[in-house]
Amino acid sequence: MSTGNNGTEDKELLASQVTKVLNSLTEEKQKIVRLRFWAHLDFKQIAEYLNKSEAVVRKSYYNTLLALKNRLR
Amino acid sequence: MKKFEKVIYILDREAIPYEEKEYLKRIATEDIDIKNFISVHLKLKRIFNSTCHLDMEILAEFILYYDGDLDAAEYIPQITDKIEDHLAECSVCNNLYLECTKEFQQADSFVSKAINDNEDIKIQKKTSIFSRIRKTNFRAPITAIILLLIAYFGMMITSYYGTPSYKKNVFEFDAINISVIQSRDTELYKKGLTAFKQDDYDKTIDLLMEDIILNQSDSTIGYTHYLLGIAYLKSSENNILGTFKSYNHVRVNEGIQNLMIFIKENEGSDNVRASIDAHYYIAKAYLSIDAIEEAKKHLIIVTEKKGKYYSDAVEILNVLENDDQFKSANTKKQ
Repeated sequence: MSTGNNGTEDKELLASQVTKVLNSLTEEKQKIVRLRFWAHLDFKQIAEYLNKSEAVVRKSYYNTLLALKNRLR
Repeated sequence: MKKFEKVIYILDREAIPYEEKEYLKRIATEDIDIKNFISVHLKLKRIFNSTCHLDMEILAEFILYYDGDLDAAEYIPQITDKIEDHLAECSVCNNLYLECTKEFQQADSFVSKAINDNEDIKIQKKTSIFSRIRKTNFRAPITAIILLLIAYFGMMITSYYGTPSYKKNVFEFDAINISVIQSRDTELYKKGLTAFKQDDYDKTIDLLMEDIILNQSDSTIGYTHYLLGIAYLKSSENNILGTFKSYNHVRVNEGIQNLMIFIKENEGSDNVRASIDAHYYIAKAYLSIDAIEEAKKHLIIVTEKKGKYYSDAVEILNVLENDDQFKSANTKKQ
């Protein structure tokens, strides 16, 4: 049932599209998204790493995701 | 903001309970921002889970950490295992890692000395391990391998004969109703169906969950529940070294719930057969978690309504009845 190479190619394509979209964000926003989704860090850990308050990181995260709505299709 | 926090808390869970799913649906209808937020969150989660190449920045921090640099990010120790597992599995990232390590060594000549020392230690360690292996008498490892093989085949035999026939390949449905699973037309559903056909059940679940949350009022949403239910069941199976099978109860229950929703949504439609099939899948789900009495109720529905799995259901009911008789005879003897 597997589509073999097509599946891999689709994933690579998707990965490169996401990289492009993420690269359009500021460096800090990129870090927040990547640390949330790749490293599964919670907001407290991200805040410590970025030396920001947890509330600021949360707010930035919400706004970033909302801003990505139209760019991720 | 509190709404968002609750939404994130729910979305981060491995399996979302029914009540919380209903909450997400409700809140997504009421608030367009929340709806957009959920949509992007689920999309990113799915993309990161499926593509999952190592992020360059995390990789850089990992290299620093691995070389004993105190400036490496503090979060790295928490995800070292995840990174190492990924490097072992993904040749693309492993090549990138090797390349970056090499460049890192060349770029910083002062640090490179320390790195080279480290490498020497590693090489020395590797050399000493190999020489130890060579020197060791092979008798002990061979005996260990033979014992392991005996244990493994013992487990296989025990698993084969110890598992009731109705639990063997419990979720290998050979005739999933194709007309039903192709009855919906949204983009998310179609992508979910493609992932399902590729046996990528986690991705199927993510996509169909998104479909349910974003398109809950569609008249054909029941079909998403149908496919989602089956995907949950199929994803619940764990296989221990190809021998004993175990089932994730949370996922099995999610599967049952979604199939029940389908049956409810499908009431009064012309496609009665699909509901009977769903009862059969629910019965199998209950069998996987040894809820025999619940399974019987659904199997009886399949036999009464003469669904496509009629003969399978009769056969399972007979086996269960024989089991009951055997158990009651044993109890009497005692």
